[in-house]
Amino acid sequence: MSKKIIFESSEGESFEVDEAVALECQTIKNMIEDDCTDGGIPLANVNSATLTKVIDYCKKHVEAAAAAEANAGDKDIYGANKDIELKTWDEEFVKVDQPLLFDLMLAANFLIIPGLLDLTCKTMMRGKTVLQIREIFHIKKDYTDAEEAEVRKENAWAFE
Amino acid sequence: MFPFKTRRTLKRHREELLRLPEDVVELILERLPVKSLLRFRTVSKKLKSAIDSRRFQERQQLIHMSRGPDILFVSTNVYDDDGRLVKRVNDLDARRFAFGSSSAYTVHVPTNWGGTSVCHSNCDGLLCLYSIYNPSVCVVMNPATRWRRTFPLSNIQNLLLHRLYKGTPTPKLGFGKDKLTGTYKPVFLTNSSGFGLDNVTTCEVFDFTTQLWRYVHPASPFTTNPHTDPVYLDGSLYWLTDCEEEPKVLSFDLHTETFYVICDAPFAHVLDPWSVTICILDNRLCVSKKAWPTQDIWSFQYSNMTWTKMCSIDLTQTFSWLGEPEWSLEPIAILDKHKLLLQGRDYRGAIFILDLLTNSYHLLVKPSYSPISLCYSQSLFSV
Repeated sequence: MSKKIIFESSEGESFEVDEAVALECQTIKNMIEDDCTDGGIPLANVNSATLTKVIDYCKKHVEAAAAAEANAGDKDIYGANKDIELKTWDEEFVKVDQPLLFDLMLAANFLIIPGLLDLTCKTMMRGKTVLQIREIFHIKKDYTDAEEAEVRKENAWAFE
Repeated sequence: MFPFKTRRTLKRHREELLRLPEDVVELILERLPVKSLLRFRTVSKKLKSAIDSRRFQERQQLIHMSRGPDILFVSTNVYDDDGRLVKRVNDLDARRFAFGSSSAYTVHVPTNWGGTSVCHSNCDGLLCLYSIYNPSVCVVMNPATRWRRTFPLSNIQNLLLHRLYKGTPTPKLGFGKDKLTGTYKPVFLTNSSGFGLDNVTTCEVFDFTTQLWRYVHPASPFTTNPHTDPVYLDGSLYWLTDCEEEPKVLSFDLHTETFYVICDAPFAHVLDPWSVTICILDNRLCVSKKAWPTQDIWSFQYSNMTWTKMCSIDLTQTFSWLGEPEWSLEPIAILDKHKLLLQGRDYRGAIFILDLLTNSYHLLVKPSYSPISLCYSQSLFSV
């Protein structure tokens, strides 16, 4: 049986995961290498709901990588029904409300899970207008209308 | 209960955002495509100056490069024998080139730019275009931001324009960055013999600050293979020399502006100069030699200064797409860890993948007109 790692969420709840799954997090990988994971890893800034999702993500990606390795010979060159399946899974995975998406992004950043960080950031910003960006990040418009139009003109094609 | 919980989370989420807005916003922005970033410059002055800062642009580039290389297809102008512009057929479906996290982009060189050569040694997402037979200026451009800047013809281009040296293989432009100062430098290294000069080679470097081409002394002690393009890696440009018996790899340090012979190529007796090529794969210097029915690729290990054979291409497997090629195939990039992207260098060269794990060959496209295919990474940089 594989080695287990115990995570503790901000609420103090324990989550037991396979070491292989925990290794998806670069931060944890470093801790395991330094041998300082005994007695569990407290994650004071990750709540249980977020941690559950993060573990789901890591599990799925570990399984997908193992499956891809086992079937390396018989996929087509585009990769790839398996890749498409994983992409579809990812898309479903981030169909969550904005606050949870935001927590997932922060957790991915803290635990260093590049794939999840990319996924959450892109999902958060996909198709967003300038107005929506101001709203999401509470950024005050400090341009005059004329100034904004001027900056917009510099790359008008990007707004097409 | 649920609406309440959501509201509470939302509140905390807002507080968090208010507490570290800049860090978080930049963290997210770094991961977005360049086009989105150009739009988000209009969000606020602060965000604009963040996106325009060198520090942000460097981080953005690092993150995008860490995902693996992208591919850039450069579609240039083609002229028929009577000098008429050949209509280009755009049959490249960039969407088909999704391997791992690599994407492909296409850039069309405007038709009024004249017959344009594409510099193969691109760096930082910047691309150079230049002409050998037309008096049109040189261009450095960023295909992702559509930024571009022109620069004047070098002395060698002016000489060639006067058509006094017909039949001389045309020199190929190199482009790279002095890593210490961050200065970009276009470089022409020309074999002098075709121009009746005494020295072995002539080297010109363009300085974007003074807007002038200047000569580098001493230039290379060896003539270079005129049928391969120089490549850029990590602060230096590299050429293959055209010594028939023992070809060497020549480097030009873009900071010190010095030429070095770094090693012998892993092959000898190059009778056809177009049967060999030099390229960068996975951030390693590689060379390749075709000897029907195979073409071998070696990569260079700096640690012990030796060549390691990376793979051997079975040209009988690609015969139906390429026939028996006169030119060596051009290795372009390794995608998704083990998929080697290659292109024929003969007219209408097919683009295909050699899967290094399964040793299988897959045709991607046999274009009616071949684009130049380059390993590339989107950036926000300009010169």
